[in-house]
Formats: sequence, C-alpha cells, structure tokens
Amino acid sequence: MRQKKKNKIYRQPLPNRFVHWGVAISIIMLIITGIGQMPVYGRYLIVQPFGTKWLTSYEITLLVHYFFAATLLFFTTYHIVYHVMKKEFDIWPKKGDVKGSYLIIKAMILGQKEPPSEKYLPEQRIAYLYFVISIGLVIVTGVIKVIKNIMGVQPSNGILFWGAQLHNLATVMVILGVVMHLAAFIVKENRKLLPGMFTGYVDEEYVKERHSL
Amino acid sequence: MHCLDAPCQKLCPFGVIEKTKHGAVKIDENFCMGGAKCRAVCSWDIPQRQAGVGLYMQLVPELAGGGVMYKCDMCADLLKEGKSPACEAACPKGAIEFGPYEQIRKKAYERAKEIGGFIYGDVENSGTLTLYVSDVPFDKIDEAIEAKKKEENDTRFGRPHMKSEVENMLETTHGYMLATLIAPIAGAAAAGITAYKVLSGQKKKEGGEHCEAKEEK
Ligand code: HEM
Ligand code: HEM
Ligand code: SF4
Repeated sequence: MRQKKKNKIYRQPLPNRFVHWGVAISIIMLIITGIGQMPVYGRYLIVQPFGTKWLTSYEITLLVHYFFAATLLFFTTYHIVYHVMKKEFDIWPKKGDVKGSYLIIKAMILGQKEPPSEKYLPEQRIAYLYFVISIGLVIVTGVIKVIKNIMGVQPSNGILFWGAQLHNLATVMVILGVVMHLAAFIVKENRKLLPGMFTGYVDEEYVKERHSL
Repeated sequence: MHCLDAPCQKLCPFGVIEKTKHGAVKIDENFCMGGAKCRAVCSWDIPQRQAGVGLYMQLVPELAGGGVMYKCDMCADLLKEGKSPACEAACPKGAIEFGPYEQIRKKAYERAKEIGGFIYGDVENSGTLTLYVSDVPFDKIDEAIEAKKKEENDTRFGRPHMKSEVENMLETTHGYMLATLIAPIAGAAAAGITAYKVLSGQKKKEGGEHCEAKEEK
C-alpha cells in the first residue's frame, strides 16, 4: 500500500508523523519542565540565561508540565487507538528480534551488508518497546501524581514515595531513550530515515536495499 | 501549620514527606536532599534548611543537596511516648492547646466568638491543622510583623507573615489538572475519527478492486 512519488517511498503517513512530533515535542518540554520541578535551575545556574527565568518558578513549570502531560496523553492515546483500530502492528517486537538486532549492528560495525528487514528493523522494534515501557511508566506515575494533587485527595505515604521515585526513574529512562534514539542517526545507514519523519517519504534505493521483506 | 492539602508534602520530588497518624506533615530527615522545594511552595516559607547534614553528605557532598529541610513535626517523638508537644508544655501562659482536630476547631470557634476575635489557619492555604485565635485582626498583626522586620532589617526566611487570603498553589493549577486527565479521551476520539476515515476509504478502494476482479472473470 506504499504510494510512490518520484523514486520516493511513502514510509510515514501523516498520522504517524503527527504523533511522532507531538510526542517528541511533549517529551522534550516535559523533560525541561520536569527537571524544573526538581530544585535545580534556581540553584545551579549561577548566571540565569536570558529567557529562562520562568524555569525557576515551580508554579509555572508545573503548569507547563501539566500542559505537555496533556498533549503527551493526547498523542499516545491517539497512537494506540489509531493503530489498534487499523490493526497495524509493524513495530511490535517479534520473536528473534534480539538476535536480529545483533546481526544488523554487527553488520553496521564491520561494514558488511545487512540482513534484509521488514518495515521496521528489529532494533527499531526493540527501541519502540523500550519507549513504550519507559513512557508508559512516566505516564502511569504521572497520572498518579496529578490525581494526588487534586484538592482533598490525601495519598498514602507509600503512594507519594513510590510515585515520585518511579516517576524519577522513568524520567531517567526516557532521557536515555531519547539520547539513544538521536544517537542512532549518527550511523550513516539510518540517516536516510530522517526525511521520512518530516515529509513522509524516503529514498527508493534505501528501501530496496534494506527492506527486501 | 500542617496543611490539609499540604503543597510541600504533595510536591516533594522524592516523596519523602509523610503525614503521621496525627496529621502532622513530617519531613524524613534521613532521605531529604535539602533542595528546598518544600520551602518554595509553602505559602509561609516554613521548612528551613540545616546545612552540612543529611543523606547527600554520604552521596555527593560537593554537588547535590545542601542539607536537610526541617519543620515542625508536632513533636512526633514525644507524641509517640504519649507526651504532649514541647510548645504546649513550655508555654508559660498555657496559650497553646493540642488535641484532636475537630475538638480543637470547635473550641477555637467558640473562643473566637466569646472574645469577638478572629481565626487564622482555618481557610488559609485551603485549611491547616494549626489555628490561631486573636482579638486583634490578623491584618494588623501582619502589619506589625512587617514593621518589625523592616525596623530590624530582617530579610531572612523563618519569620512567617500572617497575611489573609493565602492561596494554595495546588488550587491555582486545578484547571490544568483536569485538562490533563481529560486529554486521553480527546486523543482516543480524534484517533477514532481518523482511523475510521482511513479505514472506510480503504474499504471503498478494496470494494472497487473487488468489482473489477469480478468483471474480469
Ligand atoms: C517524558 C515525560 C515526563 C518526564 C521526563 C517527566 C519528568 C518529571 C520530573 C523530573 C518531575 C520532578 C520530580 C518529581 O516530582 O517526581 C516531574 C514532576 C511531575 N510530573 Fe512529570 N514527567 C513526564 C511526564 C509526566 C506526565 C505524562 C504526567 C501526568 C500525567 C506528569 C505529571 C507530573 C506532575 C504532576 C509532577 C509534579 C510533582 C508532583 O506532583 O509530585 N509527568 N516530572
Ligand atoms: C523526544 C522524543 C522522541 C521519541 C519518544 C521518539 C520516538 C520514536 C519512535 C518510537 C520511532 C519509531 C521507530 C523506532 O523505534 O526506531 C521514531 C522514529 C523516528 N524518529 Fe523519533 N522520537 C523522538 C524524537 C525524535 C527527534 C528529536 C527526531 C529528529 C531528529 C526524531 C526522528 C525520528 C525519525 C527520522 C524516525 C523515523 C524512523 C523510521 O522511519 O523508521 N525523533 N521515533
Ligand atoms: S504550612 Fe508550609 S510547611 Fe507546613 S504543612 Fe503547610 S505547606 Fe507544608
């Protein structure tokens, strides 16, 4: 069903790009404002960079955190409902993906030819699962945090403790995930995917070479 | 003040502020990193930092933390032994009374009525367990505190104001919380609509192909 346009293959339809960039922007802002919810910016930035004063206000960063938490929830539920309805599970990990990733990464490092792949490479599927787990954790603990912040709701000490600790752990996981995700584009073979996320299209040659399945 | 909806407790980034069974808001001094967020979100800047102690000394003394935040914990250790809090025992005028919340609250209102006085702490910051009763309006008291601070050139933390209309930070952000909780429903709805459109579009196409195939035969 991949449409063609002058030597380009339509890889990422609009809803995918819409979700990807919605999630990416939400998460980047959540990281910035979430760290603002830790006593950090006011404390360690000796010189306040221009335009960042708001980050030292817990009240403002909390509002902005809520705002992007809302957008993140919007895009993730969109993503889940959309692909479940369309029964598209190209990116869901399959058996043998760990071995498959190993083979591809080995080929990348040794400069050999990669084994052929489906729409998503095995390591992309594993990367996706990693994002699902870490973003899932950040959302579940985040929702607990939002509920307990409602006036009149008194959480137990344990919920408060584990909610905060796991939210922080998940934050570290998400940041690592984003760093690894971006680091993946250091590898030349992967860079051809970049236009796909912006315009939807990738080079035909790329697809022929990598996705013979 | 031991707020009913204590922002310091709910917003601690490590979740190490507990509520005791007496309702006291108590910082766990063994795990506090001294970041002072509790002080920043408290309407009265009550938690105060003691530098040079605490968990961070064992972890990364140069970098993280900066001590431990302390605040009144209703003398949790004394209460455990069945004794009354130190302030109640020590006040020479016997002006401090400790007891079950509802009972004390009732008493505070009765007393205020008796002397034609005012109460501080029942509505401030959306309600606290500490209630002050006075026949002098609290605005006047606040003015006096301010004047005294100015006189002594005291700009440090640790001498709280008594302004009226103290708003709880969590109340301010209420609308956004609800928006956050509603967002997934909107997301599901939007997805449902686009997926439905795409799917029915496909069906039409498939249906078309089907017809062609039949014609060929
Ligand atoms: C990538 C996503 C996210 C990152 C990196 C992130 C990071 C953080 C960090 C570092 C904090 C401060 C530490 C703490 O209080 O535990 C924080 C606080 C908070 N986060 Fe997130 N967060 C994310 C997503 C979310 C989501 C989806 C929600 C809500 C559904 C949420 C709700 C909150 C709330 C309410 C607080 C305020 C502190 C509190 O109430 O205890 N976060 N976040
Ligand atoms: C900040 C949070 C981000 C998240 C959670 C995220 C998540 C994802 C996920 C789950 C995929 C699916 C493929 C895979 O797992 O490898 C993907 C693909 C992609 N991402 Fe991101 N991403 C983020 C940020 C970015 C940024 C900042 C860029 C821009 C440089 C980017 C560029 C891409 C591209 C080009 C693809 C397409 C790969 C393909 O077509 O297979 N992403 N992203
Ligand atoms: S008065 Fe301040 S320190 Fe005391 S419980 Fe309320 S928010 Fe916390």
